[in-house]
Amino acid sequence: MRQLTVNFAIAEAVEKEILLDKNVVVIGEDIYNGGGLGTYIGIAQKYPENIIEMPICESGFSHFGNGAALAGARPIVDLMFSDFATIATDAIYNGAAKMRFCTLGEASVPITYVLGDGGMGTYDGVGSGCNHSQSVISLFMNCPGLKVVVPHYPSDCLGLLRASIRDNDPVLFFYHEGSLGLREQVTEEDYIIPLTNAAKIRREGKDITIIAIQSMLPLAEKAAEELAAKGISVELIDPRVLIPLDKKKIIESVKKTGRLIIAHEAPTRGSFAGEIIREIVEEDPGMLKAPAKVIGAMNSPIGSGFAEAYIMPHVKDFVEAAEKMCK
Amino acid sequence: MDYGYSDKELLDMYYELKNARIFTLKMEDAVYKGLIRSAFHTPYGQEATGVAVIRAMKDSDWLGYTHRLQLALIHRYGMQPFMAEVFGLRDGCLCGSAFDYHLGDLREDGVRVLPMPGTLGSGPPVHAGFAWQRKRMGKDDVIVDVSGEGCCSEGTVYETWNIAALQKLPMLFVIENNQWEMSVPIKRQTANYNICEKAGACGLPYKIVDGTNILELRKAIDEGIAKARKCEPNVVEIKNLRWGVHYLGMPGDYRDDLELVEAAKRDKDPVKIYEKYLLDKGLIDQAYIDKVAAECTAEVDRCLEAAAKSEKPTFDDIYRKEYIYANPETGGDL
Repeated sequence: MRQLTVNFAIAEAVEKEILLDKNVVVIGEDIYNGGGLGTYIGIAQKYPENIIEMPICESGFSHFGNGAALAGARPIVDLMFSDFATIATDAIYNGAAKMRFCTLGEASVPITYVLGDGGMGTYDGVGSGCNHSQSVISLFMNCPGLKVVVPHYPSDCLGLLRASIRDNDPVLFFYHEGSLGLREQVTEEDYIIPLTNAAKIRREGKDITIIAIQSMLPLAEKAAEELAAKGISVELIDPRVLIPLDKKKIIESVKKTGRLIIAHEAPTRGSFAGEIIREIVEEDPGMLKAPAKVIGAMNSPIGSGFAEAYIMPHVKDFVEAAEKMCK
Repeated sequence: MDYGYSDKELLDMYYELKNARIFTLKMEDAVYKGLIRSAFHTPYGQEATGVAVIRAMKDSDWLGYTHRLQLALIHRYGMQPFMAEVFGLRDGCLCGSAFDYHLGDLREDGVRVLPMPGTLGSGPPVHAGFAWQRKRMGKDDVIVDVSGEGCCSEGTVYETWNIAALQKLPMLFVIENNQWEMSVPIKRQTANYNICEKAGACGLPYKIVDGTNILELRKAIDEGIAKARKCEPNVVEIKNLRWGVHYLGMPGDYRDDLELVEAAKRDKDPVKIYEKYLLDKGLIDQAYIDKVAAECTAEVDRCLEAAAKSEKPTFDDIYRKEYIYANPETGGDL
């Protein structure tokens, strides 16, 4: 075992895949300097043939990545802050997601877009506001042709990024930008985590299912401890991948507990949480003993600095919602 | 003037140019008969572009096309499958699902047409990425990206010129400046009517050429491709005039240059100009012109008839999980 942080887990996944396949290339801004958020430290110096440093043109270099993928490369396109994905959305939404369909299955776009999502507000930290701290994951849930990967812990980032790079379809790989320094003891062994059936039950329980991603996981863990002291047993699930969603584990859990909280940093309106609830209601609305609850940010742009924490979910939101459900 | 092409090449070019004109006339007829349900973008007045570009390219070079480059696509795909495609029928090159604006064939042994995403300005950067990886793989093919001048107002095209110059990509950018994007004339699109000068600002060499003289055009494209093959990306801007509206059926009230169109039809018709060149050279006579016209008409009619016999694509022809995801088991439900 060794200690690993999220940013070094990403760099390690990239390095391991470059060593296995010379067509793995990193495309993005500031790559020589280790990447804008420090997720590629050392890669450019060790593997100059496998990187292409770009001027500031997210739209252009995202399309460029799609083109390189069509010619046989396996690009990792770094968009730094996920907020910047909006500049690259044409390449992702109209390009990468459609090219296989437009050639009736002949072409594939084995590209991985890497995006730092979310902010610091959940840790009461100083955030970078409305264009650098958003969680934009749900924007991409409604586009057939894409896969959406949302790990939190370093070990998951390492294993799931390796699987994303190897995948022959376009994958959006979101890591939590405010958790780059999150530490974890990680095995030295070589492993990948498949994108299918990826949900991980982090804590078993019988009274309530909490489905949480990224920065909501540590909050949910704390809430689960508090709730345990009050006699409420929480089952905590990290879906880790949203497309393809591990429906089976989620539905089994909700059938067992009959209560559901879904938590994410994004505003609650129109988020992927609604999609999970759709799956449950279409399966059997009778499995819910109480109304479901989505915990997320207020439906507002995010203020910079200390203002960020005001609109982000906190541990008490989980505890209050769970207690209300279990009354 | 002698441009150094063999008599056979000159006559083959003539056949394709004439074919482009006759094909378009017949397709216009097909649109008004209701055989074509999608937008058809007539290349009247611009036919020399497709012919010159595709004949200058090696078969191993990759084409990034515009929807007005039908002749180049016919050259690569064949007329009948192309026509069936435009009719939206299952004998089309992509089962009638792509029409003439979402085609693409990336197989090494295919016809090497690069996909054209439907959002303007997104083709050039995709083609640049493709060129970069081909170069990285040690291939010596050239990527020819043809874009209209309207497309060049998109920021991604500027981004592409910038990257192409930085990375020394094996690319020729052909800008077809037909003076009209959809319904906006060049004078209202940009204050600099020479689009290639904007590419020049990124460090790309450029040349402007008269698009109604197929031999001048062909020579410029030949030279541009030769440079691109040495990884010297460059630009050829073709000046011509779109005679018609953007697509057939679009109201044309916006055009305030109809006297220019009439003058172009009279004096700047690429087919007539080339016919005169070949007549003056003594390479063809009126009987030859009539013979080629009859052959082209027969070929187009035969293809029209055969293509129209095809059927509509079925649901299963188009919608399959494996057409959406390479690993369909990871893609979820349809």
